[in-house]
Amino acid sequence: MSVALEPEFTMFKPSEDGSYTPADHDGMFTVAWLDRHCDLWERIIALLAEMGVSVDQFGKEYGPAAEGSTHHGDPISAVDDYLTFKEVVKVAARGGLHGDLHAWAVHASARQRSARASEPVESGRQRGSQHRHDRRRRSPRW
Amino acid sequence: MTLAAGLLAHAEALTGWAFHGQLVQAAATASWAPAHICWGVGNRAALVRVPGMGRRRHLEFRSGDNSANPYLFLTGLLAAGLDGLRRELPLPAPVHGDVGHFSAAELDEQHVRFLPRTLPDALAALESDQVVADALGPVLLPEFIRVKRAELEAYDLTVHQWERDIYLETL
Repeated sequence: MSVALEPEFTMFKPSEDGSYTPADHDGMFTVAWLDRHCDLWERIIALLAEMGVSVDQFGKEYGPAAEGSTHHGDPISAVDDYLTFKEVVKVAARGGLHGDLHAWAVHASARQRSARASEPVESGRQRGSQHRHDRRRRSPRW
Repeated sequence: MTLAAGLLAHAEALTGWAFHGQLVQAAATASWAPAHICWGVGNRAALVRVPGMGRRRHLEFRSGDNSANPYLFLTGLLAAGLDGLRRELPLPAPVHGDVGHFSAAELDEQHVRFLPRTLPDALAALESDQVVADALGPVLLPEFIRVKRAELEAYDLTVHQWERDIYLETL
């Protein structure tokens, strides 16, 4: 059994009155959103790589939310990676890694999180762990 | 696919683990967030989605959110899937189309039921599901349910902003 979790999240920007509004309204399957926050994703992916967590994808969802996922693995590792991912995304987006990102805040989406469970016989498992191992050794880019 | 059948069989109880507070309501109908118990191939509206029928297959359980305890939620999910495998539960027919827009007659015809719509309903389903209860153990589950019911009591005693906005002028 190999498992991955696919957390959705929404990025908010502060308004002048102190309230927060969703920062992105791009459609699904678009890349403008990725471009707009490119530095942020690079930092998140590099930091997670350093922590041994391999990011499989970032993508825009329908509505203001986006989603990301870490590489699938045994259930405990998958949940460990998911929680690391969640904390790193929040800290990075709030500016905990770099001061220039202080304008952003991330709130966990109330909508859904998908748990992807592979069929019991998973031919790609070995390839997956190799991939993960490679990512773990890669040095961060910043 | 009996694994998927297990997930569907225990979906109501799993909803009790999948969310916090009143967020169960977030799975509104016609929002593509799953509100019904069904599965489909490449169907983004279904609770259990099999993205494709190629050689390498995986399935997605699309309920739950970031407020759940993922260790406990996944424990329940795996127990549900395992129950499906052990008992070789039959898989109902896949659903095509956006189940969120099905009429009551269409839902009935395809034997598609709603997931619990409120936290009390979700907790009742969780409490009465022996397979999920056994997976979570005799200490953790009753305590979890006690905490959630205490939260519900506090919630029910709170006047929410929406009520102020809608009803204040009628007083």
